Amino acid sequence: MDSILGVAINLSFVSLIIGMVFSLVRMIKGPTLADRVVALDLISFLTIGFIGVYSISSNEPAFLGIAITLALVAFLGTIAFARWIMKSQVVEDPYSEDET
Amino acid sequence: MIVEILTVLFMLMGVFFITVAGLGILRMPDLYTRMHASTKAGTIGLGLLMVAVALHFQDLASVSRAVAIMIFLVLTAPVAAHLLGKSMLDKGYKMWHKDGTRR
Repeated sequence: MDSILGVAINLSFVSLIIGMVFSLVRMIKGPTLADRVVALDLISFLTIGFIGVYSISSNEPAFLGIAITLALVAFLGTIAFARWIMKSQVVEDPYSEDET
Repeated sequence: MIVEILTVLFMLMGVFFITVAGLGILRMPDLYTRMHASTKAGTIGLGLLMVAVALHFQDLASVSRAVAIMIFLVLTAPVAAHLLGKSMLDKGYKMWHKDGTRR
């Protein structure tokens, strides 16, 4: 592996991990369920990014099929949560910590 | 050589956009603005990353898989964000405004 591509791959992994930490913080302290669902959606995006960078890093294009599957399954999960929020009668306190 | 430089450029741009999406989802003040940051920046970041994957492998199976991932993301991410925002709007979640009020 050439050095420019190796440095870029390492930088990409570090940057994706930073994004995943941000998203996990929002998932832990999100005021409503919908914030947590948005954070989960972004975590699945970041996982697809991990799979793409790792398939470049290991020169193995077979991992891209997993990325296609993960994109579709994450969409189904978000749709299911949105339908459930629309139908549920749970009253939350949505504005508790928004003024950060 | 020029293909490798283009791969590195597209990969770094895509990863930058995805990290900015994570920063937006942490720092934005409202559900709708968080959803805006996550959906749009995440979609463009993954699209650029899949362009980098297609440039790196350059055979038909890999390029078609990368294009399929891009098409699925562009089709599904706006639908998911729209449904989630519509369900929260129907439940009475007010929008954040800059003067500190919600309406």
